[in-house]
Amino acid sequence: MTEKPRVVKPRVESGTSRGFDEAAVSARLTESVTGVDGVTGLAPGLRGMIANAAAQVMRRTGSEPLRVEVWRTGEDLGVRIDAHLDDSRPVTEIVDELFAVIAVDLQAAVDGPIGEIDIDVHIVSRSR
Amino acid sequence: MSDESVNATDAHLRGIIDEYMEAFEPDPAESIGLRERILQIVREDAVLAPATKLTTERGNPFRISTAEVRGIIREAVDAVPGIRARSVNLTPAGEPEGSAVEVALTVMMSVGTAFVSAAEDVRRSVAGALIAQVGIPALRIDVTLEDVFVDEEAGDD
Repeated sequence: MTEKPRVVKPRVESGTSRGFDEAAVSARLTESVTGVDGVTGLAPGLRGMIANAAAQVMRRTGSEPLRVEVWRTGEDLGVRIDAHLDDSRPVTEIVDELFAVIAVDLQAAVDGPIGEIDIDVHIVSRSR
Repeated sequence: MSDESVNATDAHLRGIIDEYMEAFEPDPAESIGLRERILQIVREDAVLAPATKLTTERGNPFRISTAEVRGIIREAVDAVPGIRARSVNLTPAGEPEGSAVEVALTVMMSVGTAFVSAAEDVRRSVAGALIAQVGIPALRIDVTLEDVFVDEEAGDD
């Protein structure tokens, strides 16, 4: 299987900036995403993977709470979800609902104009 | 996540690592090459769990653990009497790419099974499972018979 390289834009803004509170938006999205039928939980995303790797390298304990990752680059927004699903619905049906929920939440949570929204949904497992 | 997608997200990963390290304030002695080692571990973990990039009918892209999709296909193959799955390979296909898949299977067949009709059953079973469980159609399902086995359970009946 082949994947086309994605265009990756550097993260130039984080935290609270221009009406965008990253932690608050992330918390809101986490609640919405885990409330979608068929989503059984979140898996470690990039931050979680890095926290685990850093703990391994530095021989320390460390972990990141499981959450939907969200960041802003200029007017564009990036969202990453690493999710566990059950088999109650087809995967694509759940993914479409995730996209819809995220779009609504972002429109409500962000002040000012929103550029492109890059949503990266990763289905880690699907339990029976 | 495939190795390719990890390459594509290196810049993003490095950004998060930098952010993470600021919070950690490691000892100077520890920090030599620390970022590169963390990146390497994350990349290695990602390679161990490859993902397939698919797209919903509405055009929403997503990645799904390749092992999960293979498991769905394998179960559909094994549901056909006299047939057992061996290798399962899937390739994103369709327009846009990932809106469908192409599947290549190798199977074992029990002695006395008519392969041509069994292969059709396999195709129907796999196509049905992919639509019902993943929501993605199969454009092509190639079935290659690799081996024959004696079905002792069937012989006992």
